[in-house]
Amino acid sequence: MNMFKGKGKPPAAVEKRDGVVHLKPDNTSSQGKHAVDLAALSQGGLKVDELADIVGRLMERVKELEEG
Amino acid sequence: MTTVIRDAAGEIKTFMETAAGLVLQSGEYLEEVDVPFGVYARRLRLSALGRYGELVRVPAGDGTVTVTVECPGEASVTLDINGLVEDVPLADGTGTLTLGCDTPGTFIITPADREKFGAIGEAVCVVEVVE
Repeated sequence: MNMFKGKGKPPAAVEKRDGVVHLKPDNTSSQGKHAVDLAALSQGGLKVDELADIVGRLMERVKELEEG
Repeated sequence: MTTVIRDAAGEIKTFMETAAGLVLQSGEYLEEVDVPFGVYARRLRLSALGRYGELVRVPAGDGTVTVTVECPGEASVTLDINGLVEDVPLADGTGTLTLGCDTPGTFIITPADREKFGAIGEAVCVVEVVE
């Protein structure tokens, strides 16, 4: 049975690490993309165009937060 | 006595103390269980921060949230966490499940075996991790 059928998007995927269940970042919403971006930035090694995309999405995220 | 309403697949849809006034949907059927309603309702209870059957919101961060699993008389219970099926070992009918708060989003914890336990009431735990 799928209790989420026809009721919006399903819950985020999860994974278990060291006995703890974690949510995987949702890379479809702007909030999720932001989390993925931060993870990529923390690992370094980005190309210029990738960095430009991230900056663009950061600007969008800042605008969303400012607008509430 | 408890009246259990099952869907066409045999999964528990809900349960009631009496079937009076009940209108079944297509494929649904009743099962009479010789267990008091209160006892039946407490066969599986999930709680977070001491709250049962409620939406629990916690701030995102490095911490964790412990979900307490109460399932009297069972040695383990299988739960579904956003599609991940986990077998939770129980001691004296009680166990725990630990959720990470590092990523915003929502955990929805329900029983995996819906023929045994309904995904209703206190057998459902929703934890929302908010920014």
